[in-house]
Amino acid sequence: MLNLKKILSVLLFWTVAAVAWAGSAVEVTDGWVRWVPPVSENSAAYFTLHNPTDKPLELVSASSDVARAVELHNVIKTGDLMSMQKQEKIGISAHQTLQFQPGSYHVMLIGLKKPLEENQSVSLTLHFADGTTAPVSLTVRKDAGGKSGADEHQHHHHH
Amino acid sequence: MIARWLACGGMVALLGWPLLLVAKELPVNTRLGGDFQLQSTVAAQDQLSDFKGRLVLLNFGYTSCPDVCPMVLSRMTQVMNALEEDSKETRARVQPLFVTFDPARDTVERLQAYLQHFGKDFIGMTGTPEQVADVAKRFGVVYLPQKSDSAAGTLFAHSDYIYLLDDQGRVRALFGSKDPIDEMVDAVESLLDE
Repeated sequence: MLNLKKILSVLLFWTVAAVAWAGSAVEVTDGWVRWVPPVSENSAAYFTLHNPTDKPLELVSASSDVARAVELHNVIKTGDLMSMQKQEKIGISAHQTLQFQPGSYHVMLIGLKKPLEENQSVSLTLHFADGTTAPVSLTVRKDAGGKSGADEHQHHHHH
Repeated sequence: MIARWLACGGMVALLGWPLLLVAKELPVNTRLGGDFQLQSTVAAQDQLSDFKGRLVLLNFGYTSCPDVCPMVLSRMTQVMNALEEDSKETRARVQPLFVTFDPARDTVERLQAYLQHFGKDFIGMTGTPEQVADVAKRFGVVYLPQKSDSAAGTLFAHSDYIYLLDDQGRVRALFGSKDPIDEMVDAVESLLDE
Protein backbone atom coordinates (compact mmCIF):
# COMPACT_ATOMS: atom_id res chain seq x y z
CA MET A 1 0.00 0.00 0.00
CA LEU A 2 2.74 2.31 0.98
CA ASN A 3 4.63 1.30 -2.14
CA LEU A 4 1.68 2.04 -4.38
CA LYS A 5 1.31 5.45 -2.82
CA LYS A 6 4.98 6.10 -3.36
CA ILE A 7 4.84 4.93 -6.96
CA LEU A 8 1.76 7.05 -7.60
CA SER A 9 3.37 10.13 -6.09
CA VAL A 10 6.52 9.61 -8.13
CA LEU A 11 4.41 9.16 -11.25
CA LEU A 12 2.42 12.26 -10.42
CA PHE A 13 5.58 14.24 -9.81
CA TRP A 14 7.07 13.27 -13.16
CA THR A 15 3.82 13.89 -14.99
CA VAL A 16 3.57 17.39 -13.54
CA ALA A 17 7.25 18.01 -14.19
CA ALA A 18 6.96 16.77 -17.75
CA VAL A 19 3.91 18.91 -18.46
CA ALA A 20 5.60 21.98 -17.03
CA TRP A 21 8.80 21.25 -18.93
CA ALA A 22 7.04 20.55 -22.20
CA GLY A 23 5.11 23.79 -21.93
CA SER A 24 8.08 26.09 -21.85
CA ALA A 25 8.50 26.84 -25.53
CA VAL A 26 10.42 30.06 -24.91
CA GLU A 27 14.13 30.26 -25.48
CA VAL A 28 16.13 32.02 -22.82
CA THR A 29 19.70 32.98 -23.68
CA ASP A 30 22.49 35.30 -22.49
CA GLY A 31 21.19 35.23 -18.93
CA TRP A 32 23.05 36.82 -16.04
CA VAL A 33 22.45 38.21 -12.57
CA ARG A 34 24.07 41.46 -11.49
CA TRP A 35 26.62 41.02 -8.74
CA VAL A 36 25.94 43.64 -6.08
CA PRO A 37 27.94 44.52 -2.95
CA PRO A 38 26.89 42.30 0.00
CA VAL A 39 25.38 45.33 1.78
CA SER A 40 22.82 45.74 -1.00
CA GLU A 41 19.75 43.54 -0.64
CA ASN A 42 18.44 43.93 -4.17
CA SER A 43 19.68 42.83 -7.54
CA ALA A 44 18.36 42.09 -11.01
CA ALA A 45 18.39 39.28 -13.57
CA TYR A 46 18.76 39.85 -17.30
CA PHE A 47 18.36 37.62 -20.35
CA THR A 48 17.11 37.43 -23.90
CA LEU A 49 13.65 35.93 -24.21
CA HIS A 50 12.52 34.53 -27.52
CA ASN A 51 9.05 33.28 -28.33
CA PRO A 52 9.48 30.81 -31.23
CA THR A 53 5.77 29.92 -31.33
CA ASP A 54 2.96 31.30 -33.44
CA LYS A 55 1.09 32.44 -30.36
CA PRO A 56 1.70 35.43 -28.12
CA LEU A 57 2.96 34.65 -24.63
CA GLU A 58 2.58 36.53 -21.39
CA LEU A 59 5.25 36.40 -18.73
CA VAL A 60 3.32 36.88 -15.49
CA SER A 61 5.88 36.21 -12.77
CA ALA A 62 9.25 34.77 -11.88
CA SER A 63 10.47 32.90 -8.83
CA SER A 64 13.83 32.13 -7.30
CA ASP A 65 15.15 30.75 -4.03
CA VAL A 66 17.85 33.42 -3.71
CA ALA A 67 15.48 36.28 -2.89
CA ARG A 68 12.52 36.95 -0.62
CA ALA A 69 10.54 38.37 -3.51
CA VAL A 70 10.92 38.36 -7.27
CA GLU A 71 9.19 40.95 -9.44
CA LEU A 72 9.02 41.92 -13.09
CA HIS A 73 10.05 45.52 -13.69
CA ASN A 74 10.68 47.91 -16.49
CA VAL A 75 12.59 51.18 -16.50
CA ILE A 76 10.71 53.95 -18.22
CA LYS A 77 12.64 57.02 -19.26
CA THR A 78 10.59 60.21 -19.29
CA GLY A 79 12.79 63.15 -20.15
CA ASP A 80 15.68 62.85 -17.71
CA LEU A 81 13.71 60.76 -15.26
CA MET A 82 14.30 57.03 -15.03
CA SER A 83 11.43 55.36 -13.21
CA MET A 84 11.15 51.73 -12.30
CA GLN A 85 7.73 50.27 -12.86
CA LYS A 86 6.49 46.96 -11.61
CA GLN A 87 4.92 44.93 -14.40
CA GLU A 88 1.95 42.66 -13.78
CA LYS A 89 2.71 40.94 -17.06
CA ILE A 90 5.04 41.30 -20.01
CA GLY A 91 3.73 40.27 -23.40
CA ILE A 92 5.95 38.60 -25.98
CA SER A 93 4.24 38.36 -29.34
CA ALA A 94 4.72 35.45 -31.72
CA HIS A 95 8.32 35.11 -32.90
CA GLN A 96 9.34 38.19 -30.91
CA THR A 97 12.62 38.52 -29.05
CA LEU A 98 12.62 40.67 -25.93
CA GLN A 99 15.79 41.90 -24.23
CA PHE A 100 15.86 42.05 -20.47
CA GLN A 101 18.78 44.39 -19.83
CA PRO A 102 20.03 47.18 -17.54
CA GLY A 103 17.90 50.28 -17.83
CA SER A 104 15.04 48.31 -19.38
CA TYR A 105 13.04 45.17 -18.61
CA HIS A 106 14.51 43.17 -15.73
CA VAL A 107 13.57 40.61 -13.14
CA MET A 108 14.10 42.25 -9.76
CA LEU A 109 15.48 40.06 -6.99
CA ILE A 110 14.36 41.70 -3.76
CA GLY A 111 15.74 40.84 -0.35
CA LEU A 112 18.64 38.58 -1.24
CA LYS A 113 18.82 35.81 1.35
CA LYS A 114 22.60 35.60 1.04
CA PRO A 115 25.09 37.89 -0.65
CA LEU A 116 25.64 36.92 -4.27
CA GLU A 117 29.02 35.58 -5.24
CA GLU A 118 30.62 36.08 -8.61
CA ASN A 119 30.15 33.07 -10.93
CA GLN A 120 27.47 31.68 -8.63
CA SER A 121 24.65 29.95 -10.47
CA VAL A 122 21.16 31.28 -9.75
CA SER A 123 18.05 29.29 -10.62
CA LEU A 124 15.11 31.30 -11.83
CA THR A 125 11.73 30.06 -13.01
CA LEU A 126 9.67 32.08 -15.42
CA HIS A 127 5.90 31.64 -15.21
CA PHE A 128 3.63 32.29 -18.16
CA ALA A 129 -0.08 33.08 -18.33
CA ASP A 130 -0.86 29.77 -20.03
CA GLY A 131 0.46 27.92 -16.98
CA THR A 132 3.76 26.89 -18.49
CA THR A 133 7.08 27.59 -16.84
CA ALA A 134 10.65 27.94 -18.00
CA PRO A 135 13.45 27.10 -15.57
CA VAL A 136 16.63 29.01 -16.31
CA SER A 137 20.07 29.02 -14.77
CA LEU A 138 21.88 32.35 -14.64
CA THR A 139 25.46 33.20 -13.71
CA VAL A 140 26.24 36.02 -11.30
CA ARG A 141 28.68 38.49 -12.77
CA LYS A 142 29.78 42.06 -12.43
CA ASP A 143 28.18 44.56 -14.74
CA ALA A 144 30.37 45.21 -17.77
CA GLY A 145 29.35 48.85 -17.59
CA GLY A 146 25.68 48.81 -18.23
CA LYS A 147 25.17 48.31 -21.90
CA SER A 148 26.21 45.07 -23.47
CA GLY A 149 28.39 45.17 -26.56
CA ALA A 150 25.47 44.15 -28.71
CA ASP A 151 23.40 47.01 -27.39
CA GLU A 152 26.13 49.55 -28.12
CA HIS A 153 26.06 48.37 -31.71
CA GLN A 154 22.32 48.68 -31.93
CA HIS A 155 22.18 52.20 -30.57
CA HIS A 156 24.87 54.26 -32.17
CA HIS A 157 25.60 57.36 -30.27
CA HIS A 158 24.84 60.74 -31.77
CA HIS A 159 25.74 64.18 -30.61
CA MET B 1 45.03 73.67 -60.95
CA ILE B 2 43.02 70.70 -59.84
CA ALA B 3 46.14 69.13 -58.38
CA ARG B 4 46.81 72.34 -56.45
CA TRP B 5 43.26 72.46 -55.20
CA LEU B 6 43.48 68.83 -54.08
CA ALA B 7 46.79 69.47 -52.35
CA CYS B 8 45.24 72.41 -50.57
CA GLY B 9 42.24 70.35 -49.52
CA GLY B 10 44.58 67.65 -48.35
CA MET B 11 46.47 70.13 -46.18
CA VAL B 12 43.22 71.29 -44.58
CA ALA B 13 42.20 67.71 -43.97
CA LEU B 14 45.56 66.83 -42.50
CA LEU B 15 45.78 69.86 -40.25
CA GLY B 16 42.11 70.18 -39.52
CA TRP B 17 41.50 66.65 -38.38
CA PRO B 18 43.81 66.61 -35.34
CA LEU B 19 42.73 70.15 -34.48
CA LEU B 20 39.11 69.09 -34.38
CA LEU B 21 39.98 66.23 -32.08
CA VAL B 22 41.94 68.39 -29.67
CA ALA B 23 39.68 71.39 -29.72
CA LYS B 24 36.59 69.63 -28.35
CA GLU B 25 36.05 72.13 -25.60
CA LEU B 26 33.96 71.54 -22.54
CA PRO B 27 32.38 74.86 -21.59
CA VAL B 28 31.76 75.69 -17.95
CA ASN B 29 28.13 75.04 -17.04
CA THR B 30 27.21 78.12 -15.00
CA ARG B 31 23.66 76.98 -14.21
CA LEU B 32 24.58 73.88 -12.25
CA GLY B 33 26.80 73.10 -9.30
CA GLY B 34 28.39 74.89 -6.38
CA ASP B 35 30.21 73.87 -3.23
CA PHE B 36 28.49 71.71 -0.64
CA GLN B 37 29.26 69.97 2.63
CA LEU B 38 27.73 66.66 3.72
CA GLN B 39 28.58 63.62 5.83
CA SER B 40 31.31 61.73 4.03
CA THR B 41 32.74 58.21 4.06
CA VAL B 42 36.08 60.01 4.38
CA ALA B 43 35.58 62.42 7.27
CA ALA B 44 38.44 64.71 6.23
CA GLN B 45 36.88 65.14 2.80
CA ASP B 46 33.28 66.11 3.35
CA GLN B 47 33.12 69.19 1.16
CA LEU B 48 33.26 69.44 -2.61
CA SER B 49 35.97 72.12 -2.33
CA ASP B 50 38.17 69.57 -0.50
CA PHE B 51 38.77 68.05 -3.94
CA LYS B 52 40.08 71.28 -5.46
CA GLY B 53 42.98 70.61 -7.79
CA ARG B 54 41.48 67.32 -8.87
CA LEU B 55 38.64 66.45 -11.19
CA VAL B 56 35.46 64.93 -9.77
CA LEU B 57 33.13 62.38 -11.33
CA LEU B 58 29.88 62.91 -9.44
CA ASN B 59 26.75 60.80 -9.44
CA PHE B 60 23.56 60.75 -7.39
CA GLY B 61 21.66 57.56 -6.52
CA TYR B 62 20.75 55.14 -3.74
CA THR B 63 22.20 51.79 -2.71
CA SER B 64 18.87 49.90 -2.65
CA CYS B 65 18.52 50.63 -6.36
CA PRO B 66 18.61 47.28 -8.16
CA ASP B 67 19.20 48.34 -11.74
CA VAL B 68 20.02 51.89 -12.79
CA CYS B 69 22.35 53.07 -9.96
CA PRO B 70 24.70 50.06 -9.95
CA MET B 71 24.78 50.30 -13.74
CA VAL B 72 25.85 53.96 -13.59
CA LEU B 73 28.39 53.27 -10.83
CA SER B 74 29.83 50.45 -12.93
CA ARG B 75 30.29 52.96 -15.70
CA MET B 76 32.22 55.22 -13.31
CA THR B 77 34.35 52.19 -12.37
CA GLN B 78 35.08 51.61 -16.04
CA VAL B 79 36.17 55.20 -16.57
CA MET B 80 38.40 55.08 -13.47
CA ASN B 81 39.94 51.78 -14.59
CA ALA B 82 40.60 53.19 -18.05
CA LEU B 83 42.41 56.14 -16.43
CA GLU B 84 44.45 53.74 -14.32
CA GLU B 85 45.56 51.98 -17.51
CA ASP B 86 47.35 55.23 -18.27
CA SER B 87 48.87 55.40 -14.79
CA LYS B 88 47.96 55.26 -11.11
CA GLU B 89 48.78 58.96 -10.92
CA THR B 90 46.22 59.73 -13.62
CA ARG B 91 43.57 57.87 -11.68
CA ALA B 92 44.53 59.72 -8.49
CA ARG B 93 43.84 63.03 -10.23
CA VAL B 94 40.14 62.15 -10.50
CA GLN B 95 37.82 61.68 -7.52
CA PRO B 96 34.76 59.44 -7.95
CA LEU B 97 31.97 60.75 -5.72
CA PHE B 98 28.50 59.34 -5.03
CA VAL B 99 25.80 61.34 -3.23
CA THR B 100 22.73 59.46 -2.01
CA PHE B 101 19.27 60.95 -2.16
CA ASP B 102 18.01 58.20 0.16
CA PRO B 103 19.55 59.29 3.48
CA ALA B 104 16.89 57.37 5.43
CA ARG B 105 18.53 54.10 4.36
CA ASP B 106 21.96 55.18 3.18
CA THR B 107 24.13 55.83 6.22
CA VAL B 108 27.84 56.64 5.93
CA GLU B 109 28.63 53.05 6.96
CA ARG B 110 26.33 51.59 4.34
CA LEU B 111 27.74 53.86 1.65
CA GLN B 112 31.26 52.81 2.61
CA ALA B 113 30.40 49.10 2.47
CA TYR B 114 28.66 49.54 -0.87
CA LEU B 115 31.04 51.83 -2.70
CA GLN B 116 34.30 50.05 -1.89
CA HIS B 117 33.24 47.38 -4.38
CA PHE B 118 33.18 49.88 -7.21
CA GLY B 119 36.65 51.19 -6.33
CA LYS B 120 38.68 51.79 -3.18
CA ASP B 121 38.87 55.49 -4.02
CA PHE B 122 35.09 56.00 -4.30
CA ILE B 123 33.74 58.44 -1.72
CA GLY B 124 30.10 58.51 -0.64
CA MET B 125 28.13 61.33 0.93
CA THR B 126 24.83 61.55 2.77
CA GLY B 127 23.13 64.07 5.06
CA THR B 128 19.78 65.20 6.31
CA PRO B 129 16.95 64.97 3.76
CA GLU B 130 17.06 68.78 3.49
CA GLN B 131 20.82 68.90 2.89
CA VAL B 132 20.66 66.21 0.27
CA ALA B 133 17.70 67.87 -1.43
CA ASP B 134 19.59 71.16 -1.54
CA VAL B 135 22.67 69.61 -3.18
CA ALA B 136 20.53 67.65 -5.65
CA LYS B 137 18.67 70.81 -6.61
CA ARG B 138 21.89 72.66 -7.31
CA PHE B 139 22.92 69.97 -9.76
CA GLY B 140 19.49 69.70 -11.34
CA VAL B 141 19.04 66.19 -10.01
CA VAL B 142 15.43 65.05 -9.86
CA TYR B 143 14.38 62.21 -7.57
CA LEU B 144 10.86 61.22 -6.64
CA PRO B 145 9.82 58.40 -4.33
CA GLN B 146 7.49 56.23 -6.37
CA LYS B 147 4.13 54.98 -5.27
CA SER B 148 4.47 51.27 -5.84
CA ASP B 149 3.40 48.00 -4.30
CA SER B 150 6.87 46.58 -4.92
CA ALA B 151 8.37 44.45 -2.15
CA ALA B 152 11.52 46.52 -2.59
CA GLY B 153 9.92 49.33 -0.59
CA THR B 154 10.68 52.86 -1.70
CA LEU B 155 12.00 53.03 -5.23
CA PHE B 156 12.91 56.35 -6.73
CA ALA B 157 12.27 57.76 -10.15
CA HIS B 158 15.41 59.75 -10.78
CA SER B 159 17.81 61.31 -13.25
CA ASP B 160 21.05 59.41 -13.68
CA TYR B 161 23.69 61.77 -15.05
CA ILE B 162 27.37 61.51 -14.26
CA TYR B 163 28.77 65.01 -13.76
CA LEU B 164 32.34 65.81 -14.69
CA LEU B 165 33.67 68.64 -12.55
CA ASP B 166 36.94 70.40 -13.24
CA ASP B 167 39.72 71.12 -10.72
CA GLN B 168 37.77 74.18 -9.57
CA GLY B 169 34.63 72.14 -8.89
CA ARG B 170 32.81 73.60 -11.88
CA VAL B 171 30.46 71.43 -13.95
CA ARG B 172 32.02 70.81 -17.36
CA ALA B 173 30.08 67.85 -18.75
CA LEU B 174 27.07 65.62 -18.10
CA PHE B 175 27.00 62.04 -19.27
CA GLY B 176 23.88 59.96 -19.80
CA SER B 177 23.75 56.19 -19.54
CA LYS B 178 24.08 55.74 -23.30
CA ASP B 179 27.27 57.79 -23.65
CA PRO B 180 30.17 55.52 -24.58
CA ILE B 181 32.85 54.99 -21.92
CA ASP B 182 35.53 56.08 -24.42
CA GLU B 183 33.92 59.48 -24.80
CA MET B 184 33.82 59.94 -21.04
CA VAL B 185 37.47 58.99 -20.73
CA ASP B 186 38.35 61.40 -23.55
CA ALA B 187 36.48 64.21 -21.79
CA VAL B 188 38.24 63.51 -18.49
CA GLU B 189 41.63 63.41 -20.21
CA SER B 190 40.96 66.66 -22.04
CA LEU B 191 40.31 68.37 -18.69
CA LEU B 192 43.43 66.77 -17.18
CA ASP B 193 45.42 68.30 -20.04
CA GLU B 194 44.05 71.81 -19.48
